[in-house]
Amino acid sequence: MTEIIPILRIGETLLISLQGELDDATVLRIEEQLTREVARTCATGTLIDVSGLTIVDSFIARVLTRIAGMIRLLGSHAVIVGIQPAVAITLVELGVPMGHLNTALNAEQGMALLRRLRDDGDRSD
Amino acid sequence: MTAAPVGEPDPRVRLRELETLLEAFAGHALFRLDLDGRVAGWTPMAERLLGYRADEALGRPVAFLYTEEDRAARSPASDLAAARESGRTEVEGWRVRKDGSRFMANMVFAPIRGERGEVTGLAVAVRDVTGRLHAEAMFRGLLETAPDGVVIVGPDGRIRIVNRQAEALFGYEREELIGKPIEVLIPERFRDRHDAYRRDYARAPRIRPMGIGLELYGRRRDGSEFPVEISLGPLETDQGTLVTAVIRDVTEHREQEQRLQRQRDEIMELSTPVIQVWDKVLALPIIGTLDSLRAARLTEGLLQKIADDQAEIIILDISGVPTIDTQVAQHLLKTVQAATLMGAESILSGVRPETAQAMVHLGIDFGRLRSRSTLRDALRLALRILADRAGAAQAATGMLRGEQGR
Amino acid sequence: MATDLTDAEAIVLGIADESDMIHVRQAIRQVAQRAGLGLVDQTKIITAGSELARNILVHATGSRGTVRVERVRERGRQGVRVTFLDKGPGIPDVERALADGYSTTRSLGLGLPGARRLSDEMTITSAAGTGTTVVIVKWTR
Repeated sequence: MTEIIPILRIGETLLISLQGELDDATVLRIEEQLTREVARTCATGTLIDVSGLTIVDSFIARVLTRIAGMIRLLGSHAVIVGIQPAVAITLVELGVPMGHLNTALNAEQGMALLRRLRDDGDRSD
Repeated sequence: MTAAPVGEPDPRVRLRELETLLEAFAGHALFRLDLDGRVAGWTPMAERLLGYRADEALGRPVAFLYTEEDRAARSPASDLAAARESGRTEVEGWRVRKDGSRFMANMVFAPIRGERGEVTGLAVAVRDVTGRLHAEAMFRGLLETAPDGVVIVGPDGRIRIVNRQAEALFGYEREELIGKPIEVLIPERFRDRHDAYRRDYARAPRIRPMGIGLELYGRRRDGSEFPVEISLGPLETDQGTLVTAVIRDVTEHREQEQRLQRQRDEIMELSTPVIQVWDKVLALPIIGTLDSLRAARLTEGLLQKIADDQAEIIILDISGVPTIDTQVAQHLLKTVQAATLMGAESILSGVRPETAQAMVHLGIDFGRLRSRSTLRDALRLALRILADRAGAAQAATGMLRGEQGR
Repeated sequence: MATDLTDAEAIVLGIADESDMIHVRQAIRQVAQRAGLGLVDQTKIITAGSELARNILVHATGSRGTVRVERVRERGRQGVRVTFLDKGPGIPDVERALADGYSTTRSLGLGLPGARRLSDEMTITSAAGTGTTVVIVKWTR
């Protein structure tokens, strides 16, 4: 299947950037593509950059949470980076439970968080 | 003069009766002209209106009632000719009384026909309409001196009258507008609807602002638009109900509104400052009560600052909040949740034991939110968290270097 | 609701397919921007509209409905009004539907409570069997 959105690989970390207007079908294909790639590459961490998304409704929020859960099951960590202020306020008001998502402001902070998560994981092993 | 056959009414008496009736009901002064245009019959009302007695008027050409200018322009002759040719003729013009005073007359010429249908003379009905002229002049005076643009529209939707201000507002000469549909002054995208609005107004015309809730725009001659406020009023005339539109350019007013709004925003912002207390650490001292609007602004300001400064930790100081009720707690909670989504960790400071108790009682779950009683303690905690993170990062790079060194 | 009349530029769209969601969002954004709403308020009302449009696709009979987006004006402020219409099964108990967590399917509830929190005003007219009209309004501050 052809790639919908390019997935970058930086060492053991995958990076995917979601941008613009995403319809439901595209979101689901991205979910499928990403989880497959995490499994295939055994990446230890995934950064999902949503700084290009101006609207995150309950559907997208649920899918993101699901992706993070899937990636965790695959023994990896997912960090959502770049949630915009307006989107953050809206998601909180919308009431979508996103409590267990790892988030960071940008890719730099996201990488640092991934490192900490990996280290914590190592320490607790 | 032949005497009337016995038993039939004298035609002259009959005519006089009719004349009296007409004068009484139509308010016109009547007199008669012969075929040459000379006065052939006179009435008391004609005497009253024009000042001439019957013996002074009889036999004189009708021109004696006209002004010198009109006589020089041969108006009497042309009025007579028109009456003879086309039948009933109505003219308006200045006429002169015996004492030399002028008045605006409405004169109707009607041919008198004999038994065989031939024209035997002209009946003339005269009415003083100077009063109406004054009213019109006053009206025009008012229109021209009005500070706002005035456009008067007929029942057919076409422009009848335009004042000077309207010319200036829209950039037209009035001759260019008279007779045109009012829609030429409206931006194209609103024209369709306007027709329906006009009909609605015609059904129930009254003095009221136009388009409550609508944003109105006028369209100038050069195509440019400007915001307007319009007041409508019905004008009853003998030509039907006209609609008067008083138009005001409110461009400045709108700009002022916007300026005021921006000022208000700035004041709001100044009263809720977000302080960068350290690299990557922001503090928001919340002072006073939190209503929804203020809370929303606080949160938005804070989140924007997190993005701008790339902050990792925010300290929410509530020592200045008198009472923590459900509403305040909810606002705080939402702020913390939103900051968390942006990857920032939150610390609550200024939490006194009573506050802590109140929050527990409210049953609001603040999750892993840490709190300290003073801002200083909160800052110390923040710095420790950052140091731990930096240490972890160093350890990671150190490990890598160590491995590479082997 | 104290909203008053609207101007001539309403956008009306059909909701029949999940690809219509993007058009709905774009329409709301367009009108909200024109009304002068700030970015946060734009985001809120577009997201609310997205939730309600999704409702129609998921719950309405034949998954069909229409949405009307228009600018409104009140003394001193402007706003955007979004009206959703569907001929679905209706909401027999609107009160209950507005309580968080209410759900008739596996999804996270009907999206109504969330949309209400994101809007300044919301009006629901519905009855079992006759369809639903949901109107949301967001004003400039």
